[in-house]
Amino acid sequence: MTDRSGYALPEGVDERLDALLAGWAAASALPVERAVAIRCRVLAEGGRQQTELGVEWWQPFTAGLNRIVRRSTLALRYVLPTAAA
Amino acid sequence: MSGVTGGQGRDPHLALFDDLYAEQHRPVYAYLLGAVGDRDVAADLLQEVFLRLWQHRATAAAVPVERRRFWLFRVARNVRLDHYRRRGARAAHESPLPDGEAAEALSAGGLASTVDIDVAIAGLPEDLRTVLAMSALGGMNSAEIGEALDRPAGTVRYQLSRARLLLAEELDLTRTGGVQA
Repeated sequence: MTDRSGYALPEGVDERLDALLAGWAAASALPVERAVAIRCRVLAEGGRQQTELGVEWWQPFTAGLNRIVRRSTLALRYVLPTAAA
Repeated sequence: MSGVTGGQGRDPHLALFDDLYAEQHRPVYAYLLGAVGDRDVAADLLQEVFLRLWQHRATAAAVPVERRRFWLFRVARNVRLDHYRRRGARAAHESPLPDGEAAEALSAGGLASTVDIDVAIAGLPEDLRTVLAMSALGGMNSAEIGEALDRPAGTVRYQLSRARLLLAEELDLTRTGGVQA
């Protein structure tokens, strides 16, 4: 989270909020398999054959998933102790 | 725009579609989720956005590469409006949870958790929820969000700060320290 202005939060609150938002973002992200399915459905509706579609386009999804996992690791440091309580 | 899909002799329209999908499906989904507050609905609308991209791929191809994502966001805004029209004007501004239910869930939960923040975000006004989702989930900065939504970046920064303050208050982070590290 980079944009903070206008309202100052007490010390430490920004970090906690960022961690919770990272956890929320990880939980809310479109699952890779669903993103793949949407792409295939759109192109199938558009008349494309699945055999035309290739496989290279998977790579950005994998990179995105890795990014989400990294952010989740930070979030879990804060969220797990609470969930266990 | 990266050439992520590569491939010599590949259909340029398919390459355009795949590039935009790979790079923009996440921010567009974040926008739609922030707007409608429901993951399944947002995913359905995302599909509609990209179906329209495919149907109008020749038009998209004529848009300068650096403007294509904003063109796509205009499509997303239209899809969102069409969704609201289908739902009816009144339902368009309702949050996914009734206000009382959201407050009850928060007060019963005590310290913040991912469930609490889900409820708290759902209870934000739509304009704040949208920019927050685009920032936290879509990974966009205030200038990008502003351009996508046709709002000044300063307005977006204000809305992000306001959203964060409301969330911190709802989750009791400002008073009790909230989540335990």
